[in-house]
Amino acid sequence: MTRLLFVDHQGHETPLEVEAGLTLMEVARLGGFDSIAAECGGGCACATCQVYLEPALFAALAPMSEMEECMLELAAHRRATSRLACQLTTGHALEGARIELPESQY
Amino acid sequence: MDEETNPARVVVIGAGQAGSQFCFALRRHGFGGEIVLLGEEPHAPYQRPPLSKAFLKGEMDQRRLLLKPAQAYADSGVEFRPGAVATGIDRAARQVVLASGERLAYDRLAIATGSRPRALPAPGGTLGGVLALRGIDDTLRLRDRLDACRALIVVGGGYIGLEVAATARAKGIPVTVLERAERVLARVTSPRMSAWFEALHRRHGVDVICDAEIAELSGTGGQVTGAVLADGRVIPGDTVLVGIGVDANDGLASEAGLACDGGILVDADARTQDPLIYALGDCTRHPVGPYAGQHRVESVHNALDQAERAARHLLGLDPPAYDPPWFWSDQYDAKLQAAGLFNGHDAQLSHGDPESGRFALLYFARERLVAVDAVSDPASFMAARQLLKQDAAATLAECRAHSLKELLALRKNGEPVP
Repeated sequence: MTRLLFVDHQGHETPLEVEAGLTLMEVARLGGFDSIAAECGGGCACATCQVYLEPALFAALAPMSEMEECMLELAAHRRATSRLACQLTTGHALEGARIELPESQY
Repeated sequence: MDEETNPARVVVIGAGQAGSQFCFALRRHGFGGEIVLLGEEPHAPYQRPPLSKAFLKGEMDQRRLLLKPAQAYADSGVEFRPGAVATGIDRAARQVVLASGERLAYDRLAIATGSRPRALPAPGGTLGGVLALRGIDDTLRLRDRLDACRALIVVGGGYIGLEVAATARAKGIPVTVLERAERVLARVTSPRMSAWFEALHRRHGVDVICDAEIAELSGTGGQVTGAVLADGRVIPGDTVLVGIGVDANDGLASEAGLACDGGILVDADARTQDPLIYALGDCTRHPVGPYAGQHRVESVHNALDQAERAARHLLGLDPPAYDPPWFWSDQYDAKLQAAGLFNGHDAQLSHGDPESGRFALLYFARERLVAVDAVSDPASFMAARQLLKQDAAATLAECRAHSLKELLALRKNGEPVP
């Protein structure tokens, strides 16, 4: 199991404990966070599952693929610690992660 | 609010991506009335794109296909009824008639009945082992067949057919693609892009036969054994996947007297000619942004976009900003991302080198950018989506001089580069 803390754009916090091996996008969808549009369902094709990580976690994770980097570069509301949630998998590396959600993906 | 802007009960026929999204969009925008979502299948609403890719490969379990967890419907006050088949719409009485005989009253109705695969018109089209791909159950059947398949025939070189071909090759299965037109993807992209995808499949060992007219599918003991072409060639295969396009499920609407023409005709807000009835998703034809004419756009993006527009219109809210249609397809290591509508283009440019496997084709009508097909080139795709939103369309001259990403940066406030 992986413990996660989702924080929406208004600062509301939702702790979740989820099985390992799901993508963060799937977790967000199962959690009912509508700000994760995830139009393409996890194909790294749409850049509508953007989340913001804490700097320490962002730096600790394996670097983004070129595909993810390019998709995010022109995505709306991008920040320095943005990632696409479909490219992150729950498990040890995300244990205790604080995941901030944008108000919208558009 | 009065009944005009705050109807008591909304009924949605069809629990695909459009119908499901519409329900949740209504709630997100504050609709407080009843919502009934009717689905023919026993499954809760799910994603279809993985059905020809990861789910067919067996890399994704069925639970992960769901668009929302099962309890999300009840939690949001959406009465989801699986296995509910609508057989008629009584517009005078404002009721949906169900196969069970029940009549379900509506104040507003949304028709999101999707589309159905065309059947192969050739003799032998109903033999065992001849399959179409539309729903979860179709994929499960095809997946079972592929486990023991010695030769797969794909009829139709469209996206579904080519994605299945790629998946089958990944499993080591010999594959022949039979395409009736002179090139694959003929309906959805340009000859240059078709040629690139045909070469991609050939490199992966697929035998692609274009101009292939199927005389019949042959079989023994009720099971398919191959395809016989009009020129006499015999292609062996123990499984045949038919992917020759889909037809809009507009029967309920046309029987109810709503205008249909290869899909239910709706306006940009997904309204039919009946002010109480919306229609959305694959079952519709509608105007799209700056493009002339009416279009049936079979894509997730279109389903989501029409759902949002219909929900906002129903609640008297402003429509969202125009978002150009887009689509993607994964085949082997290539990711195609397409934005805009290429129909009617009269010029094209390529950016990048097709030989490298990373490039984009840009399509223009009267020197204005109308669509982009990007292969493993996400930067061009993302830039294209934004450029296609701008009122002053990017010009052929601008696109000759700059990459799409550069052009997006240079076009401050969407103004053309001087």
